[in-house]
Amino acid sequence: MIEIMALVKLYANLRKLAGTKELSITGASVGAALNELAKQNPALGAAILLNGVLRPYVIVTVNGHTVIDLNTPLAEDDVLAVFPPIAGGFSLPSIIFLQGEGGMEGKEVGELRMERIGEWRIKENGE
Amino acid sequence: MAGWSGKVLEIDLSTQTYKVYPLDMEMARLFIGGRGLGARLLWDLVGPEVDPLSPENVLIFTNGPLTGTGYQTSNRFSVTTKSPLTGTILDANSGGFWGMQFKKTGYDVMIIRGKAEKPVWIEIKNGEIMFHDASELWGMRVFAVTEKLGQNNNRRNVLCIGPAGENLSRIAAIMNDRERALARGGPGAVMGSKNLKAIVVEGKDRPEIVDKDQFKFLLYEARKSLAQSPLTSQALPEFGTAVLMNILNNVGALATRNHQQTQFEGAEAISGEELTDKYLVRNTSCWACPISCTRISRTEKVEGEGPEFETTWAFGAQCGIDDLAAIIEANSLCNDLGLDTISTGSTIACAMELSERGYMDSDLRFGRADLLAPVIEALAHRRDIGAELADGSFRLAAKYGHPELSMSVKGLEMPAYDPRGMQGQGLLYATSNRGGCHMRGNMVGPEVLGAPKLIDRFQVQGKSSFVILHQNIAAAIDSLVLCKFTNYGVAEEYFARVLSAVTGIKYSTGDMIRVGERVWNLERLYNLREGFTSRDDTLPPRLLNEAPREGPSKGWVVKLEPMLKEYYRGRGWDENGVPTKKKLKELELIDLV
Repeated sequence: MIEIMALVKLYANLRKLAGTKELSITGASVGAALNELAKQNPALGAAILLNGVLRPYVIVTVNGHTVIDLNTPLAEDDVLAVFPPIAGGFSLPSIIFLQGEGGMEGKEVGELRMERIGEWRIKENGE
Repeated sequence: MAGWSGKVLEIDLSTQTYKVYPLDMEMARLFIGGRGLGARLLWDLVGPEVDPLSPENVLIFTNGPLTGTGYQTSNRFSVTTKSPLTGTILDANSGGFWGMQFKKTGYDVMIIRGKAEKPVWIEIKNGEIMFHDASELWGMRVFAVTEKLGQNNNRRNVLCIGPAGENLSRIAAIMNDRERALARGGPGAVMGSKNLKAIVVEGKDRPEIVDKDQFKFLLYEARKSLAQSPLTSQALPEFGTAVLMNILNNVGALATRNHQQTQFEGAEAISGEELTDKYLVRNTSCWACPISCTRISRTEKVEGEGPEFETTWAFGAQCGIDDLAAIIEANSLCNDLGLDTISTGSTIACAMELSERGYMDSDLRFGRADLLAPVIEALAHRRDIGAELADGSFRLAAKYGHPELSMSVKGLEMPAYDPRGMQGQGLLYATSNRGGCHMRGNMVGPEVLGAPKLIDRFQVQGKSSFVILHQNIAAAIDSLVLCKFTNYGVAEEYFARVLSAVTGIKYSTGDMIRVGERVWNLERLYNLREGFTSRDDTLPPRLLNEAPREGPSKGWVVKLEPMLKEYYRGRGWDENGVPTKKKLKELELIDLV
């Protein structure tokens, strides 16, 4: 397996947990790199990952492009940036959820509602 | 009657008289307060024939039914007028303490008409309205006036203009509680044109609440929600709004050097993290706010509130400056002189580009932190180069034959988010009723922060539905009047429930959003009456034609036209962006046209 060395940049309170603004980490994918990070620094890992997936509202970018899929492969010299959930929040606690081509236009199927802080569910029309 | 005081105070400065009359409660039900009520009143009071800097323009100060109740962030108030910068309808709102105190004077609305023969200041104290000679105050700066007139956060609050407003700078703010601003669109110039230096409020009235038990419960629930939201409980208190600097820079959506680039190499040096590490003294809050996002920062020269993210960006990335101390000092100077920091920073950036390209003869160059303070000082006093900058970037750039170098929409300078990396934000700016603004809704949540759901920031199709909803919600919150940051922790369902508990009038979540839609459409009608058309729903040519050459937004321009068509359809407007009769009927606005 090819070892990829990626530069990881950390922001806001993640810096306090890591004791640094950036570090180098090996991993063939975003998930592998973050898991390696968690192995080296469990407190930092716990702030980023929950049960192996990204915590809600943690933002991870590779070269400035947001990634959601942790299987996204990394290439040499990629820059991984990790922003804690404190950079997120709820700007739209309930929105009309539309489904169709592109995922954003089309038939109105229901309402995306915040049931509790950080927990969302689609309340379907007629429910 | 509960929530609302039910009274309007109308002051005529020309005659130094006033009258008090009942608030139209049907109007209050439909528009609530703040921005909405202000828009409805301005519709009747100021038509297209009125010059914004003439005595016929009005300043309408409004609070809302929640103001002063103690509900989280119920400290805000609004001013509505015709903007001398854009010619559009304008409302600006502000936090601090003044709004709460204004409510305690027993009025929901204060309308200021006419023009005083000589400078005056107004004092409203325990039911008395007094006009005072302001000759000695004229020319004084904001901090000195605030102190001289007896600012006392919980008891007596001062709102005033500085030299910029007196000198009719079209980017002048009205300041309250020393360092809070009704900033955008030049309301300070309107106040200056009326020879009105300050309004001091002191009152004892308490807003009545119909269902006190339910109100207390909702207060408790909202407190819990705000304490659990990562943004309102951690990010804003710890790093302030400037926490956004690094992430926007990272994704290539940070406007840089008058929007010539979308990433700034000095972003880290002017970030919220850096501000907290090196300059933060403590954080503080507006009245009844548990979030406490306000920074008190200190350099060798100044100590005071701020700077907020947009200010840090305007004097930082937009001017190519990475000297955070100079930015903090520029912010403080703008507060003392009474200037909108976004428009001031972006106008200086425009002058920097005009000068670098050889169109304008000045020493201004990107990165010249040493020139910030002297140029701001000159701007507020209309001295030297400042005389050319005092009316904002559009008039400046047009004077030199290059209006395309003004990074403004409808004449109002845009904030930090470069829409080439956030397509929805581009649509939002282009359609904003007061011009380039991030407070009429903001797509940074879904397009960058993934809240409530991450959407592709480069995608065009379908963006209008998000933009419309954001705009409607923003208008509803501005009409309550609450701080939009609460919406990061508290759903609008809570706003509807608390409004119902306070007023006794049943509002559903849908009703709240409908109020926002009504306000948005009324503002649109106002601008159409002023002669604005769909041609004004556009962006600077740079954002439509010049793609960034590097960074994550490389190759992208704003694809406005398809989004705009979809937006008009989604709004229920015709292809020219005019609200249809059907839509106006649905919104109970049909009687106005």
